[in-house]
Amino acid sequence: MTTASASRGAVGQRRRSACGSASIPGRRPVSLRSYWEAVKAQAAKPEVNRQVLQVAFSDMVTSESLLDQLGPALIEPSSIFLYVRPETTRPALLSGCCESIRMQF
Amino acid sequence: MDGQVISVYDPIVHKKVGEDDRDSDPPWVLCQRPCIRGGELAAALLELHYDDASGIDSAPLQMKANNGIFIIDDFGRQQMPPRELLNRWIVPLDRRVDYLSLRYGLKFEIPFEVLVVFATNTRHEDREPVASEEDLARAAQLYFATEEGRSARDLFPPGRPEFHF
Repeated sequence: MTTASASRGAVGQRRRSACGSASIPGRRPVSLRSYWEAVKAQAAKPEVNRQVLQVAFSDMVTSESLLDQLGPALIEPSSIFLYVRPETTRPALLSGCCESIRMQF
Repeated sequence: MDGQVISVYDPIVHKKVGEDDRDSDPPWVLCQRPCIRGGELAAALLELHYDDASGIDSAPLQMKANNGIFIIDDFGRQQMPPRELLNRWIVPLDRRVDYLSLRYGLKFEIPFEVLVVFATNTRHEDREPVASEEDLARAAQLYFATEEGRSARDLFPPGRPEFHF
């Protein structure tokens, strides 16, 4: 057995060992390339509109101006910096953001 | 990756949808889009974690959040200083690619398809300057939303160009 094949054998053994472990029962690994393709193919392109936002935030009192700002922010495929006044319940607002995105998928 | 197995699926983060066919041995699990809140964020959670017992690397939080939302709640109050977090993520936020390294040093790229929400209610005056506003805004393409309807320019007036947290 050459060094290369011995190395491949060791890798295969490690993979088989890993796949046979209790932590990932029944799941076989995919290549990093396949993972890249899957993630890129499922990249979030939410179509958040006012109706979606109103449903997502239906259990809290929000101003129209807040929805005016959150809507475009959630549609944009970029990051969001959200400043909420200290007296406002931040977790509720974040839950509404999550809900509005999740409703799209 | 290089013969190493990285476990991405986390039942706490990924809410499974439906039942899959066990006979077909599918490699994927159909889930809702993940929504992670990094309230107690530490630097180690953003890197691979090797488990000696199973011989498997556990994916970092941002990898588990791929195709979903990652909320940095109460930004500035994490174990990880905000400056360190921004330095760690400024390239991923800009290029949508993150770099991880295996425990023996081999680096590789993973996709960074995460909607990151930095949320804070710390007033501007009380935040610590951590980065140039222009650098960060350009790199991260941050979209600013404030409850008071103020623009980013109001939050970061020309006289105080630093990005405060």
